[in-house]
Amino acid sequence: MRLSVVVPVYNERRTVEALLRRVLAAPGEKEVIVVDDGSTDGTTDLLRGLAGELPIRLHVHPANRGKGAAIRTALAEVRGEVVIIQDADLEYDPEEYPKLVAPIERGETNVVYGSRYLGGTNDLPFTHYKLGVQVLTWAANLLYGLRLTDEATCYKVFRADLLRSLPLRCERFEFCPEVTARVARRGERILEVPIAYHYRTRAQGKKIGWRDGLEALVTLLRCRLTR
Amino acid sequence: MLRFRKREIGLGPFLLWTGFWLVAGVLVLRPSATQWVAHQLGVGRGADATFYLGITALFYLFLRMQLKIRDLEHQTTELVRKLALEGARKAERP
Repeated sequence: MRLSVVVPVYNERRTVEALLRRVLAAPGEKEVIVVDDGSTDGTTDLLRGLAGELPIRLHVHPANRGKGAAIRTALAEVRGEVVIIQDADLEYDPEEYPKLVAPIERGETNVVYGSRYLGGTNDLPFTHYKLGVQVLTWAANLLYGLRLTDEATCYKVFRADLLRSLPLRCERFEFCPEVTARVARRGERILEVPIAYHYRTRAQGKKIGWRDGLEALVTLLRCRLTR
Repeated sequence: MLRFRKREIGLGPFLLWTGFWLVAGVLVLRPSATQWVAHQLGVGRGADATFYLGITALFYLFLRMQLKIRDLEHQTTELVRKLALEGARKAERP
């Protein structure tokens, strides 16, 4: 099955090139769709240069609209049968793609999440971020009858036609809760596989904050109460 | 009035704002008129009734503005996405 790797990028000049080379070196046939979400630190120029050198397809948002908007832009251009979301930092390891895609290839499920809490290497200390992830996972399980261990993981893998058929409206980091909610309401089974995670701090470029956590909770509730 | 004549605002907003300023003018000239409104609402003093109505109106306007801003944000996002997709298609064409 052909894999479409969707890479939303915002101000990741320090890591994006290394990340893209690792993605392209990872096993399996794939296309890489990069969406620069209005970066202001020179990432856009770097990506334009890389697009001439590497087999990637680049889309550039003329203004910053958020991760969810960037993913939706990429989704319009996906040609593969399976889609994986890949952040442009180095927190997750592209070498794990085969493990994540395998359950879909075997026909066991249409949705796979890579869980950071199922035994893989995880150097995330107990911070407000970890607490937020646990609260969100707990809320998603409670509201949608799921049994997830990591709702907020970046590594979410979907059958492309399923992802395209979801009525997504997200703009920022509420992509994760919205897609989880929509998939759960469709009655799809979300299968989790253990993945490794290499945490980076806000000083190193992490952008998600407590406001995004609150917005995620509101999104989970909104999707539960509305169509 | 000038803005309405220049067709910068529609009839609805024109009537709304004219009504607002007329009422405000009456209340400035005859503050005791608020006592009647207060009595209708079951509030003791006219000044209190004005205060409560003002707060209610502000909350309503805040909600309307929030919804409008959210709507504009969505529209901007869709526009940005469209521009990005069209830009990429143009670049792909030989």
